[in-house]
Amino acid sequence: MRLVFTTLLAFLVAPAMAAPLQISFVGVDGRGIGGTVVTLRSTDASRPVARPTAAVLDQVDLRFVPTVLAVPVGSQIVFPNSDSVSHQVYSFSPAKKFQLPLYRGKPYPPVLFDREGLVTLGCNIHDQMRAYVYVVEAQYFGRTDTSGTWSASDVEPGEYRVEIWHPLSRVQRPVLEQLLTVPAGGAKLTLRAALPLKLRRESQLPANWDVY
Amino acid sequence: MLALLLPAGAALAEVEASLDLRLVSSDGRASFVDGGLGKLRFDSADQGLQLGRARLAWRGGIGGDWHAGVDVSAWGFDDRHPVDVTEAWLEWRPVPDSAWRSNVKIGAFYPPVSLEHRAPGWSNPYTISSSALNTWVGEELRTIGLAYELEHLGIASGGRFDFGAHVAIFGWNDPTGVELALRGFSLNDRQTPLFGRIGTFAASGRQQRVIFSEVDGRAGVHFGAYAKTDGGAELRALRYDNRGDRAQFKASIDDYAWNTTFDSIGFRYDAPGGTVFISQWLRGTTYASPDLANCWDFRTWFAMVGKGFGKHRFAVRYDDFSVLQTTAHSPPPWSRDTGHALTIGWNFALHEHVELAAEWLRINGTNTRRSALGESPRAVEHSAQLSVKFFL
Repeated sequence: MRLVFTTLLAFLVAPAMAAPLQISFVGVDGRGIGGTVVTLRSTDASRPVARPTAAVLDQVDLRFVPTVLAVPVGSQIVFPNSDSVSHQVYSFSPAKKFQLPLYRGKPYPPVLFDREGLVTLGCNIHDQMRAYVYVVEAQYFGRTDTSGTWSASDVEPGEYRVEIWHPLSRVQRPVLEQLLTVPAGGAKLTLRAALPLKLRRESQLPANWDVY
Repeated sequence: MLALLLPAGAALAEVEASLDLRLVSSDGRASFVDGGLGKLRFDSADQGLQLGRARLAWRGGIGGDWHAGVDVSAWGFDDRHPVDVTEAWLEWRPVPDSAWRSNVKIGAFYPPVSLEHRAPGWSNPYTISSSALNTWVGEELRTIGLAYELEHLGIASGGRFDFGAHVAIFGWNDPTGVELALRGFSLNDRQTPLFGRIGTFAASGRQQRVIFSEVDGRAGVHFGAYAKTDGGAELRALRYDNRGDRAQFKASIDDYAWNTTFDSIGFRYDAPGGTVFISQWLRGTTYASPDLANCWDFRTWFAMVGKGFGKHRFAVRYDDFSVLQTTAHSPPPWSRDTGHALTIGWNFALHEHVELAAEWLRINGTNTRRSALGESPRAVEHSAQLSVKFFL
């Protein structure tokens, strides 16, 4: 009886087993695609999602830094302007409409991103500036590295819906969605895009090439 | 750039200042600046150290959705004011709350023709001298009036295109066209200030003309459209008509209203890896007398390729231009200015506050008016310039 109780207690008290997970996302040509956002949503709706965080999205040399930020729903992002020129940050995306009137430095409090979805940011003075905030309601998320790989060490085993989205994709919805079961021992898998991924090009011009 | 926090209303503004000094080597004919028919700003008498441009500008938010800007420059001591204004405007530019965005601009500013001039102060980041087409824009065009633009920001909405259209009404552009008719095209970096003059062929009786003046009390109009793709391509078109009433004469500037119309199309492609391709085309007509007896057709195009390598940028441009008089009171032969040019430019961001640039320019042109100066109509002019530009 004591043994049973102890075992039961262990189940209740000990954190659920965490498994390592590695996902590689490759294109139709088999080459890894970096910069994609991977999200894992448990099919068990009772599982808690990732907790909100505080993040920084800076403006340096007339660019947003970083140009892609994935944050959990409820996160707050502060938008400092490290340039010597003023910026006017805005979004008219349905997931978050807001604007920060012309400013330099860090005059405004953080902005709350309380709805899931993609938020495209712009500057009303410098149209070439663009960035994306991907607000996710999921247990796990992250971005693939340059080899197209994302890994997490602490995924709770179970069934998940995996979504993959690329910020430069011309469609604003996941480019791949599928169910995935993470076993207790973890998993290492490669997901292949079904169709060629058409990506828009990020400007590679030097920052001083076009100032206004 | 010096950032200033204005006390009034906490409006934000920036002051920009720059000084562009040149080392010049030129074999050009007597420059148009001095009333000649040379196509270069600096002619063979202008060797050595020259002032390229000294510039002071202010721009900023002035409250609400309003922004303002003033650009003041000195180009040397060849104008009636050593320091003068090139642009001064107020802009209403609300932050978009949907993909549609409107803006209204009032004042004196450039019509959206050039795809070269994307650096502060309507300057060209690729070569020291602008294309013949955009040199003319800087010499004889300014929207002095009001412009309304409506844009659709499709790329930010997940689409593949941004597009927009504008219409502008303006005045104080009645002598526009005189420089093309009397001198022809030029390739240089000098912009005509709002209250300044431009050097004109001396045999016409004056060495300097006022360009930005209202003669007939009739507003001109230009309208146009653009489209940009998310892949870096941009297409622009514009139609301009200053609606000059050729019967009107203004004694204080000793000139008629010239009736000048043109169409322009431009294409720009910012390719992967820092390569840029720009090509523009412009064709128009200017009439100078009430009975349509003096008419010139002008057309020009250019193609430029630029490539950035870290802090270095290289650019090569080919220009082609012609101004042909098609009717006149006098019997033929009528005036003709034709030619082509090759420009090679290099630019180096030496320091946050210092930029170096070099340019070699060759213009091969024939201008029949040169005979009146005792010169041969055909001239091959060269210049080499080294620029050191200091930014505040």
